[in-house]
Amino acid sequence: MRMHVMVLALSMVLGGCAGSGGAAGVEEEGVVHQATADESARLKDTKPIQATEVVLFVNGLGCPLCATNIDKVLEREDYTRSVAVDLGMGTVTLGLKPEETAPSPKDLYELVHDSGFTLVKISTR
Amino acid sequence: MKYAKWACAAVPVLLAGMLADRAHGQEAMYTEAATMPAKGNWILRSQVHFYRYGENPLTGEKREDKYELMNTINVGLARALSLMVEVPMALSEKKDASGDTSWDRGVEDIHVTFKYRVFMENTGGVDTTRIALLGGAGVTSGDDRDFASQSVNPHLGGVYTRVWGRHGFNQDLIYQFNTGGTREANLGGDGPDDALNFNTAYLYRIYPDRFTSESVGAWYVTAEINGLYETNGDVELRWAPGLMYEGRTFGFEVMAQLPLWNELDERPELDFGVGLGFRFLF
Repeated sequence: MRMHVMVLALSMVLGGCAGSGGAAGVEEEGVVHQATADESARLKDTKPIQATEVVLFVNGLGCPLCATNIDKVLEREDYTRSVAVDLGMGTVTLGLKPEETAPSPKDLYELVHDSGFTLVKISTR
Repeated sequence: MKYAKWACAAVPVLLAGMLADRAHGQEAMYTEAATMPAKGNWILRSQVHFYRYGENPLTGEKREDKYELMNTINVGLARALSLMVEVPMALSEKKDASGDTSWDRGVEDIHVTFKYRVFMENTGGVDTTRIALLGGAGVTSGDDRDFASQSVNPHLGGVYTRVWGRHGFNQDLIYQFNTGGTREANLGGDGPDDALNFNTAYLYRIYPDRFTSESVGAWYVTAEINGLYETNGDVELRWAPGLMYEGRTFGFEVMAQLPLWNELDERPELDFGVGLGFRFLF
């Protein structure tokens, strides 16, 4: 009986959490990146990017630990100066070393895909 | 009464199902997930489990306490392929019918599992749906028969993961072809009979309610139903509530495991279990 009550209480607590939608009572909408036809076409470009910083708009960054997959993969590349993942915006900001050959948008698309995510578009600074 | 327990504990999992079009999933303690380290990345996962079992119908032992240290290394091999090696070390205390206790320790079967992702759809910043196939074997450590099966036991299965917003859902189904082991030492899936594991996990992110640019970690409550059917007819459902934290390079988790419903004739019933785990990504 004691076990029964304990299981019931836990179920109610967890069930309540699942239905509450957080402190504000509002379910997170979340970022959904979308690209225009031109932005999608740019991801097939094989020419090196001419910039010192690239913002990658990424879908699928489901949890903090998962997102680190991208950090680790990008940090191993010679051209990487810095990597910053923003879970709130669903973006990865990649700093490029000017002395190294920069990646192409297609290179970045494949690298993000290999990490288990989807690169929707990029912007350069 | 057994069915009432099942009905009560199923509530959060049913809620997960109803909310499933908005949820996302990470990895709970006892259920697989269709996530994996990227090529060249490593995850070290270390878990400590304690299980208390009741009377063994085959040996007559009144109680068994099992302490288990499970170390897992998971490495990304290619775009959608990872390898996981689990090494469980165990310490066991048994109390016989006369009240005498005995201790034993050893290394259980070492599990080697390949995970191959066959489907991935990333529909939003944190939203993803993934399916992976699992294949591998439990290989005897060579320890004595109380811990190791003295055999090689292939396993095959699959896992579905969905993460949406603050929610996560994982469902695995794994069949193990057992070719060794003994019924007397079996505590679930370790005997000579084949075993079908079916585990369901629901995860809910309690903090932060919304990721921001400053977010570096997240807290989750988890609820699992862990099922095991063995071809000798024994079947068991366990319920596992827990709490988990995930940072950018590490995570930790604490869980309890409680009996829900069972029909066991050839092995002891679980009284309760608790677990504590850590994960590090390299």
